[in-house]
Amino acid sequence: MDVDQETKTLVAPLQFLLNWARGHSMWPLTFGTACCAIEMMSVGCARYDTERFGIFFRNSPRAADCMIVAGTINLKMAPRVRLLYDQMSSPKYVIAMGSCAVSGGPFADGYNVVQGVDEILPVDVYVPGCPPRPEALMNALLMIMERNSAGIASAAEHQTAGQSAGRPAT
Amino acid sequence: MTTPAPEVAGGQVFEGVSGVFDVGPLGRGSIPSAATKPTRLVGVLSELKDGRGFTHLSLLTAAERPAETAGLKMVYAVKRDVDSTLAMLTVTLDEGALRVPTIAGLWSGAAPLEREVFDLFGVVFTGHPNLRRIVLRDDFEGHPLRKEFPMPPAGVTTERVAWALASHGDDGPALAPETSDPAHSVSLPYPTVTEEAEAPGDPVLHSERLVLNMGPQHPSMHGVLHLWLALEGEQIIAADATHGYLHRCLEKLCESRSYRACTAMVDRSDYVSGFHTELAFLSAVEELAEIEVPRKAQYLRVLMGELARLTSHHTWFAACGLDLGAYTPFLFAFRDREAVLDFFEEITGGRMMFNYFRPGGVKDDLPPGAAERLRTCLEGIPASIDGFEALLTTNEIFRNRTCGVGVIAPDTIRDFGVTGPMARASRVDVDLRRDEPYAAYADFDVSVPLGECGDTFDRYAVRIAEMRESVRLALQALEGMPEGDFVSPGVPRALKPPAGAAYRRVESPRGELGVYLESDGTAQPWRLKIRSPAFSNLHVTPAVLPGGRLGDLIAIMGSVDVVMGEIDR
Repeated sequence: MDVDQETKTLVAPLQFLLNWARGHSMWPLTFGTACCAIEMMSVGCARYDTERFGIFFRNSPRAADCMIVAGTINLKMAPRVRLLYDQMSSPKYVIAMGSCAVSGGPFADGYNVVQGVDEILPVDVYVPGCPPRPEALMNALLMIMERNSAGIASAAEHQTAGQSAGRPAT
Repeated sequence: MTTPAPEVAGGQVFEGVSGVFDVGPLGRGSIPSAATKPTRLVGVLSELKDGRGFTHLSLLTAAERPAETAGLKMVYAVKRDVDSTLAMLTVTLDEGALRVPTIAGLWSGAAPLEREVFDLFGVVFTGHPNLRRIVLRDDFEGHPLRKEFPMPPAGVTTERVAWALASHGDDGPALAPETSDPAHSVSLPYPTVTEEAEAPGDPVLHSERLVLNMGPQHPSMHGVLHLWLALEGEQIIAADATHGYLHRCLEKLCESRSYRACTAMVDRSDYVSGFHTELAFLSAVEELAEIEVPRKAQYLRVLMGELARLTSHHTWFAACGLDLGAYTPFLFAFRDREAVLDFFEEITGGRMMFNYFRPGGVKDDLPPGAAERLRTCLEGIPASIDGFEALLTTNEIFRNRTCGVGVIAPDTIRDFGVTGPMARASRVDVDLRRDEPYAAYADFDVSVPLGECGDTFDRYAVRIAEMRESVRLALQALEGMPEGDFVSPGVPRALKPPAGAAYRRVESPRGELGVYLESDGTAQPWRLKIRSPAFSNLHVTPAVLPGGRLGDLIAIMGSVDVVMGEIDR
């Protein structure tokens, strides 16, 4: 980033500005499946107040940057989750919130439960707990925002580009 | 002290009913029970319903018979509201002839329950209007609650997930079996989406019928509920609730868990107020294993149950406000909820999943000083409920959207087995805390708020009144907390209740929550069935939504208070 002394303007690569903007506003999709969704609601309430970080829940996948998979995914839900994910625009991130989304949790040996959402989506951050505390979810969201600022590629980008170095930071 | 149950001899309830045999109490409890033949089932139930006032269908489920006698049995429980008497009826079905007549003609609410039994057990209900899967995918093979169902040894495999992703599962082969029955065929008294969607639109406007799917991802669907609607413009012609997006095999998995581990599983069924499911389950375990619960533990159970009702209604209030475009109720309700959750965390160790009630009592006593701090916190809650009411009760927009909208008649309530605040809003005066006092409720003075006409506003008002009542009862429990043990000494770690069955119900924030438990004498339950109040409350929507506007649907669904974890299990 440079300052053009003549015109007194900031000059920076577009990618840097995009990363900077994305790193300060993370809009997750309002998508709760099970118990963890109640803790996800708590994150938005007055005590935890994620809006102060620019984290603002959106109802449409097309306007969301990040999907918090809050709860158990079963065989009936799996194609719907995948559809929602496909409707989100890139770059997009996935947080697996709670034991069920991480690994199937207490229901892992069932006949209808997907053993972790990473079976169907590339996951960026895993948040263990049954359910995790709101602080843990906030930490996960902030982690994604930090990675965004630093220009580190999302899990989805890694998947498509192999294990490449990610987006250029500056 | 054991929980008092109404003293009713089985003989009186079934006296003079033709077609029943094996009359006697259920297990070691005092619920009158009898058996009948499939051919006599409808006759017996209609005699109980129309002749003897058993108008509420409390339970409809199936259970596998012990291994040496292959086959299933259907279990029905009906309740008479006047004296809160329960009667159970079982029908034995032999392997190879798993067919029984539908009772959807007696109770419309039986139709979705029968679909669930068909889905999980494969029982065919002859004459059923719409027998197809309800919780599993249409292309799922097998009926998983059968003991013979091959459980995947390491859970669902990656190949299976790939199979699931390949289609939505609702365009698979039609699995609806042949249900026609010339002697007994039932059609439901409300419009169905499939028929109405095909019907011609308004001839004047040259409009067409529209089929709209709301959910499973929709901001006001309270989780993964999927409503299927037939619309004529803004007007709803027919509605159907589809669910199963959160079916996580809870009842089946409990059959391979120890009784103590099952407490943690049932906690996750109704995740907004786990204490009530824990209590219903443990009451059934304690009845089967004949475990005494000390008085102090009973008081602690009442205390935690009432706090859970308060926080559950907080969550409902937040969601109800959000649905109608009011954001501040969410902030207010969660502020108060967090204050109570801090006490949950201090007392039980968890904010949401408690595992606090244990066979014979509770996990731990109140920590030092917690009672005083909890009292101070609770004394401040009524004033903040006044704040809630200032936001919505007198709000003109809120009143316009809720008053006179989604009126449910008392007959419809009983037709669908609706319970809890929804029933009380329609002036069906039932509350198990008062009618059949469990835990320590006999010592408490429970007042039951009722609505006026059963509209959406009444359901709102009843819940607000219940929040105040819960605070009062919780304070009463703190006041009268007896001294003594918080858990019975000498309850073995590995429980093996003798073979038998029990059905115990509690009043959860959504209504009558029951646990039907069968033991075969081993360390794991033989059959665990959760009678979910939200299931029955949800399935009243096909009768209530038609005729209303799409915008009313949001207000009505906000007042139903669904919890998908409990509906799908």
